Amino acid sequence: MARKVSPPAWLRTVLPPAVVALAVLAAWYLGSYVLIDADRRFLLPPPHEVVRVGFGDPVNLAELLAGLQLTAEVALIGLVIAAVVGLVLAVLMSQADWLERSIFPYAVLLQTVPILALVPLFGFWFGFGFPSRVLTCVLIALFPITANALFGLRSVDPGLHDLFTLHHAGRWTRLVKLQLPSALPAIFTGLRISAGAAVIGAIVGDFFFQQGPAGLGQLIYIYPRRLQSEMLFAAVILASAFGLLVFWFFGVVARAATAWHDSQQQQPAVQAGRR
Amino acid sequence: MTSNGPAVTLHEAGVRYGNGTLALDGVSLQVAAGEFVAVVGPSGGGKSTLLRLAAGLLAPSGGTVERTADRLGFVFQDPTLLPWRSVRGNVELAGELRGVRRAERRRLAEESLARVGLSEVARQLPRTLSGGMRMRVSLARTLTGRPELMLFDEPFGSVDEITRERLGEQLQELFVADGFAGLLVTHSVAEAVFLAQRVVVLSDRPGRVVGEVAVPLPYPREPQVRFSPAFTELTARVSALLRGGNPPPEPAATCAEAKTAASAEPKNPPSAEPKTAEPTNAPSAEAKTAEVKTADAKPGAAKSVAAGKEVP
Repeated sequence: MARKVSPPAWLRTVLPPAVVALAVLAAWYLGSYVLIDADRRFLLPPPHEVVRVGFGDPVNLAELLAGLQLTAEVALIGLVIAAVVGLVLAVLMSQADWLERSIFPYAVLLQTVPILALVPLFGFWFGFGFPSRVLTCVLIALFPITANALFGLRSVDPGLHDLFTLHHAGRWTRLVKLQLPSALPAIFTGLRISAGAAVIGAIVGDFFFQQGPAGLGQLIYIYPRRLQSEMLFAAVILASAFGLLVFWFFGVVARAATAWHDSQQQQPAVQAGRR
Repeated sequence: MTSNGPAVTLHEAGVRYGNGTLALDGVSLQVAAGEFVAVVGPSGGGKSTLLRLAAGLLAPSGGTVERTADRLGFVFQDPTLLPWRSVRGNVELAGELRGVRRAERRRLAEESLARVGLSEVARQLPRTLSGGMRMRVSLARTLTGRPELMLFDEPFGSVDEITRERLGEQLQELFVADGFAGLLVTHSVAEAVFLAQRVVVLSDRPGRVVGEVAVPLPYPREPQVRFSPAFTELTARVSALLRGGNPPPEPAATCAEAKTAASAEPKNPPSAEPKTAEPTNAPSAEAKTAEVKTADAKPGAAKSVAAGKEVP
């Protein structure tokens, strides 16, 4: 390749992950056809079989999509609740040190406690329906948004705080006009992480309840027991794709909402610096 | 603003931080209405602390601070702009926080932006501007409050030399036009002398007033005044005070030493001997009237004396 001719921007964005995808597919086929005997191929069905059985068969596809829909509902409602609760907690903690000292340890505890151990309890207390699943999801998704939002609210430029102090700005004005906008990039980072966690939370709750309507989690639990490995792979792909979609969505929203932020300016600079 | 009462008065003001560090020690300083005073001192010498005291952002741990001026303007070291707001939105912020009505604050903002020559970029975001332009936005925001007292905390520290000088010139035009009282903190001796009527020299931490140099150059000062002998002489005096004011010695001995040194070697360059502030050998017309005052004597405080021809 000539030195000074660089490929177009879209190609530079698309090419590297495409190469990785091809390599993974190649390795997958290699595993299915070369490393595994034909009679044990169900352990790693080749990609086209996964697509044919999982997404090509209308009955199977309907089952997967119904599971995805339930999981998506749980994840999105869980995420909304986690975001609201997390933001409120972060705002409260940012307003007074004693509140932070009182609340934050428990926010950390939420992150360290084995949620899996609590999931059956939620089932006992609240039944195995929708509310318990959402609750599991909220508990898993709550910490990232809380911690990031708090960090953002706390990291406001002290000079700007002085400016507001000099103009005798009240708590509310300071929060709305200074702290929340300053914290937006951090809040969106938290939302993105929480969104991924919410999808995992929805699947985990469903996986452990094994009762009520089947989401992706239950399907993922059932398929290996029925030796439906194509369906298992299809369910995993669907779950990952949904997680990616949510992650991407918040990335787009974040970029639109924080176009003023320095982090949005770095990409062109890096590319310009390249040879 | 015609009266020459004080705009702000610090009396024996000291600041000790929570960790025990003494940042300022017994500083007395007064800025009269319509007067421009500059404070120079080494980095970390408590200059910013002094300004925060004057602004009321900080309470003195000793002494008193009395501010008579109602309308206060503060220009920070950084432009301190809200990055998500347009230039005009930033300039409007001051009025917004004071509760000025929308139409009125917009008018004030546009007027201020015109004064600093930034009407063209009113709709842009701060990040699209150069450092110097951002500083002017910050200045415009402060001007919307029609301040009686303007406090400047190393306002042009982060821009290049030429921009810095231009900003200084622009600031002086505003001072001449509006007649606010100004208190500028800077480490640039040339900037201090160019802008101020008096230059107060602060010692290294803990900050004490080491001495003071009056700058009798008439306003408006042309940019070229920086090359005049009088200007050079004044900056030399301030520099001498800065160099001399470092470790606090026994006051009496120092005074005697300084006087002896001054009379013994009148051609001494100003930077030669610590503890002596020495006028250069070729005083011009302005320099003759320039006087170097001693710091107000406080037991234990650094005291520096320069024996100029006109000093009694």
